[in-house]
Amino acid sequence: MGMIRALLIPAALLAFCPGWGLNAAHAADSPDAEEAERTERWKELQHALFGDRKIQDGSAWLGIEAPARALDAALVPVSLTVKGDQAIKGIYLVIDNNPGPLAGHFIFGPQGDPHSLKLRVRVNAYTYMHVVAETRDNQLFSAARFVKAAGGCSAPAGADEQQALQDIGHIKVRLMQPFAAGKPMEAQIMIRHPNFNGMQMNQSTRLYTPAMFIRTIDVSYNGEPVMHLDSDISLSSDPVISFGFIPPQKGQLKVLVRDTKDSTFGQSFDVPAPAS
Amino acid sequence: MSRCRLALRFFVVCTVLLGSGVAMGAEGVAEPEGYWEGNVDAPTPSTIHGGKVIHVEDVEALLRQGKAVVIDASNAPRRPAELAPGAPWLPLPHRAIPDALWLPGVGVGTLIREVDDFYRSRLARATGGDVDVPLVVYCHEKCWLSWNAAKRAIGYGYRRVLWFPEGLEGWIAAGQQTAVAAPQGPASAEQAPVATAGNDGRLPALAILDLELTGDLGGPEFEAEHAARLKTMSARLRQDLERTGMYRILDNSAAQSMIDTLRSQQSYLHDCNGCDLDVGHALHADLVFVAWVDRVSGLILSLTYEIHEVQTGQIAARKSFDFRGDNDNAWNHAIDYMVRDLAKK
Repeated sequence: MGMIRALLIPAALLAFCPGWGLNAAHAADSPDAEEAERTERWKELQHALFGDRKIQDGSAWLGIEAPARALDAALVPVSLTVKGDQAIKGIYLVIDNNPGPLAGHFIFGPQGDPHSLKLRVRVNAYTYMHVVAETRDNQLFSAARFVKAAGGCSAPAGADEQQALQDIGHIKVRLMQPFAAGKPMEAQIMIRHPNFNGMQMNQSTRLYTPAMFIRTIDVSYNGEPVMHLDSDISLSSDPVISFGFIPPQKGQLKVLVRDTKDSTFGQSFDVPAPAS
Repeated sequence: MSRCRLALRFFVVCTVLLGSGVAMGAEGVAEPEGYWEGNVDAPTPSTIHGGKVIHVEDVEALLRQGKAVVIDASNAPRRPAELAPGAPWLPLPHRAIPDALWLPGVGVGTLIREVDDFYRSRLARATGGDVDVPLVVYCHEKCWLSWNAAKRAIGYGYRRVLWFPEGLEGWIAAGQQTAVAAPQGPASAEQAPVATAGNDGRLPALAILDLELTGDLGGPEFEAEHAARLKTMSARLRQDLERTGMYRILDNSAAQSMIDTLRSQQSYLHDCNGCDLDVGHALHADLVFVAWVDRVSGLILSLTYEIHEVQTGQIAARKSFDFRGDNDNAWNHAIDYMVRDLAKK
């Protein structure tokens, strides 16, 4: 064990510690200069993610909410809202200063309702978060929010590693409103998955836990797509995601999760939930 | 700094101290005897034996005089291999004290030879070989990488090693300027032929399975001889590969029971539908090295190796070498030749 420790730790340390401790990144510069840098970063990211496509200001109807100062950088709650009747194809969540900045891309199906999304993410450094909405006619709109949190990417997963793995793939659904045919309702899915991002250290072995995280989540209602999520290492462990859908009649909500090991976890839930 | 980080650090310190038996005196954390092998993101001692602890104003004065060499020992980010192929990976530019040399990796507890050689020669170049040039070493606040890197420089014979424990956070908090830095590392590590682990100087982690013998085994009277030879030759192979400095060789003991089980189920682990990759996974290896000797007769044999990528299961490298004579001497030669040939690539 001693030998493993000696050999594994150094390279692991070399491996993953982006911006480790760069909490107050570049505070040396004036606030204006800092802001200019953040604007520059967002420009870069826009280019990397959307190429030359124009992104319009959507702040009048597009909302992104997160605590200005998060209590736990590994579990920063983010809420994305769309007001009005914009026909939305998909929503991107960008955490500008995370090394993997694209935290999630939601694509809505015919049964989906893009008006409200909630999730919890990891934040590695003080950062802007951007929500980018893509309309059905392929226009892009964005809104932004600044968040003070840092270190979330290397924070240990809350539970014991082995235990987290034992329950992996367990999915629960909560319906937030009573069912009414044709009326939008909100569902909250809770997925048991450590979503190891490769930057977390196992507190007893002192080795870095290899990355293993959720790649996609598909939600369908009676076989019709509600929402598809391409996610990434920025999603918190044991993800909790709330989204809207419009059930035309009673039926089944199906959740299918696939991770980087190509393990799939699926579960179906009755809507309305059976009386308990 | 978020509260969770503080809490995390506190937790880490406590467990590390309990685990390694380092005493905590009134002054805080005591200096370990050797290099610090624990979590690097933890409170550090207030001293460094053989060197001096300095603070922001000292660093500033040294920079103004323009005589010091400044070393940033903080880590460099690496893209997780599991990230989807098209997913953007855009870590923020690394901020450093202006004109600092950013040498990620020189402050880890145990250095591989390549990085050790690199660090030594990089310091010699930066100081013009003058061991009296002041060396300022830092990383982050509460970060052991700079402590280790400073201690290492003291070990190299530098006489004015100045450790700056407040690190980048302290520097920034004092209102000092920073500049974007690019990482520097040993060229050979970056050019390692089958490095799948990125280009930041990190060596690929290699799990080596024991040599296996196939073909005409020569009958029961050879059994004991072969078993003993496979054992010594496997050890030799491991040693030779380690000496190339191309890989970080992993200890198999963590997966020994798995290896034993597989051995009882499979004829050969080098050819078992990828069961060797499971061993690689268990050991957190990037690559698995399998090699076997095919014995056509007591005279005619061949030695073959394959390097398998753990993530993809692909064969990263493969080559066979013919040799003559089923004896220790011939096997030794074959193995040495094979590893030399591999290292030449």
